[in-house]
Amino acid sequence: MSPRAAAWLLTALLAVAVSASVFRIPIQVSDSAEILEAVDATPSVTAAFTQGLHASRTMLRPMRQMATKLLLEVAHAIGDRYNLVFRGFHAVTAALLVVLFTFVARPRDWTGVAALCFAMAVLTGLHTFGGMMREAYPINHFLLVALYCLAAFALAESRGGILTDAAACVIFVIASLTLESGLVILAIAVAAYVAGARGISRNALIAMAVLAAGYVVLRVIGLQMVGNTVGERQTGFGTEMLTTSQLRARFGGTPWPLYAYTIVCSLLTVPFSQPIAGQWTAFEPWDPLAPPLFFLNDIGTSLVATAVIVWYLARRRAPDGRRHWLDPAPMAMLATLAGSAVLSYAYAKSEIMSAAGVFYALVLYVAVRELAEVLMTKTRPSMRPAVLLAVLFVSTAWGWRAMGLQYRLQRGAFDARSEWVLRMPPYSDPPVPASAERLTPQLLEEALHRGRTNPYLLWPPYSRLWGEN
Amino acid sequence: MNPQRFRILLTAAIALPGVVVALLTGLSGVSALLADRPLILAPVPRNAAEAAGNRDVADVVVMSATTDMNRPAAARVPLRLHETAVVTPLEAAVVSERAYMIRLVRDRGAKLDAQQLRTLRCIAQARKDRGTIAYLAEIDASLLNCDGVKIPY
Repeated sequence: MSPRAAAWLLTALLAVAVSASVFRIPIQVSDSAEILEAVDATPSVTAAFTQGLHASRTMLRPMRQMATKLLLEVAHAIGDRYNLVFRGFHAVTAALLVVLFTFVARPRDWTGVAALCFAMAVLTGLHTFGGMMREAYPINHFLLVALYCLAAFALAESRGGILTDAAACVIFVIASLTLESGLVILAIAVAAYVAGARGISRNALIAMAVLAAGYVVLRVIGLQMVGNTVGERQTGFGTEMLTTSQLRARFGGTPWPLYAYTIVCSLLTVPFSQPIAGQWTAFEPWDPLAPPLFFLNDIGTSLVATAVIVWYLARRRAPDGRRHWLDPAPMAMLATLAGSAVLSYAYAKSEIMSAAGVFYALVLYVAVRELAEVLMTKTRPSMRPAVLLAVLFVSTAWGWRAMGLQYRLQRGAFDARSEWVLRMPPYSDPPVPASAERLTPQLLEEALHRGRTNPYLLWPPYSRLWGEN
Repeated sequence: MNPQRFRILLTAAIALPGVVVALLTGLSGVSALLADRPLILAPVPRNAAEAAGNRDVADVVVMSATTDMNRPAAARVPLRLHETAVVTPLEAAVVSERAYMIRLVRDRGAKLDAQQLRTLRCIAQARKDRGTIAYLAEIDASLLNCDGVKIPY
């Protein structure tokens, strides 16, 4: 088997693993049922897009409404099979992200394949990846944006041409109208260009900048929208998770300390796996009888991986002596990390940083490949057994984190299924009034009969080893 | 260890855990896609009592359509019980320490007579769970005598 074939076999296995677990999670009640009912009531795809333009004063996401309407049309056409279509779409996009990751990494030899194995464990083991897979609203726009970001980077690294430029502009428009984080694509394209990747031309960058200006004009002047303010959503501060009213009471008058804190925390969460959504969860008081052991693994593995990346970024590349941090992938990672963190100024959320997590794993891939070459040639014979054990220890720890994704996705299926009982009458108010229910009875029926699993039947400390979310 | 062997072993050390995870989860994923049954990390309750004991409201609803909700069955509740116990769905619901589960099991057809209520109150008292004690006290707040009541442990 050639290295390339082995890499694609590994990719296929992981794509199936992730997408199969994603597919089993039923459409949720929260953040999904109400939106589905509202979008289904719109007469056309165009009307859904227009509704998306005016749905909120802070969020401009008409492509989400449009895509939801399109998928609803497909679901109606095949006999109202909503879970098949929506969960199938989520599963396919999850698989696409894994496939695109390998396409961008392009391992050519066995060292590259080994680095890819490691990077895939990092990609799927990071907490920012789980958020893209576990929930949908009813489409996971964070996953779509991560996919668009990686696609834009792939275009930047391609040979270029008029079609590439056009594709970059189209991706930018779709991404920025799907989620505010989509604006990061412009930063990725510019960063890749500065680093020497010329797949997206200078003219295309200018066109994207004009489109970004158009976005701002549409948002601020056309739709009179405003940015997020303090207290719109809960967010972490120190070791606490503050409610919206607590946020308003504490930071309503002077929001800048909260904004600065949230941006810094978002920057830290990818390379250090802490804080989570602005909250330093690892430093909360622990139950001595049930210590959450996963924090040790999460923080420890992230510290090692980040140290490898820092080592790689500081090294000079062979041909011209330029430091690696000026290469396209590291520059794109830094741009995504900074851009996503700034966009999450009002509240921290792991999902907002998910695209940065993808680029973090990509840079780790090139860093591990180079580290392996260095270790192979420069390790003293007496140190070789120790190096092998250390490398195996770290890669096993990341493999353990990657297994945790499966646990969390099965748990996600359990929680989503349970919601369809506990968040419905007679136990809670319905997501939409009975008079407006068109899809809800079918969604309930489908949810109860898919994704059967129960994490409480597992050996109890599993949640301590992998966390609950 | 010669350089060639070190090269091979180092490559394996970097790759092996990722390969194992890909194989385990990939094959489990194939099983999930083909038969809706993942091979790892996805156990399912075997009966309504086990579902009730493990907070599985969805399975209680689904199983109640075809199951006698008063029949005792062997239930594994790893979070609450040291060993498998033969309990009714209502008893398992109290063991789960979730008041909503008691209500759900009753709503789905379980009958609560005086003897059963006494057993449930005794289980709740033994577990010292305030939520289920309060829920059951709303139904019967009389003095409780647990002599002779078997408590699953």
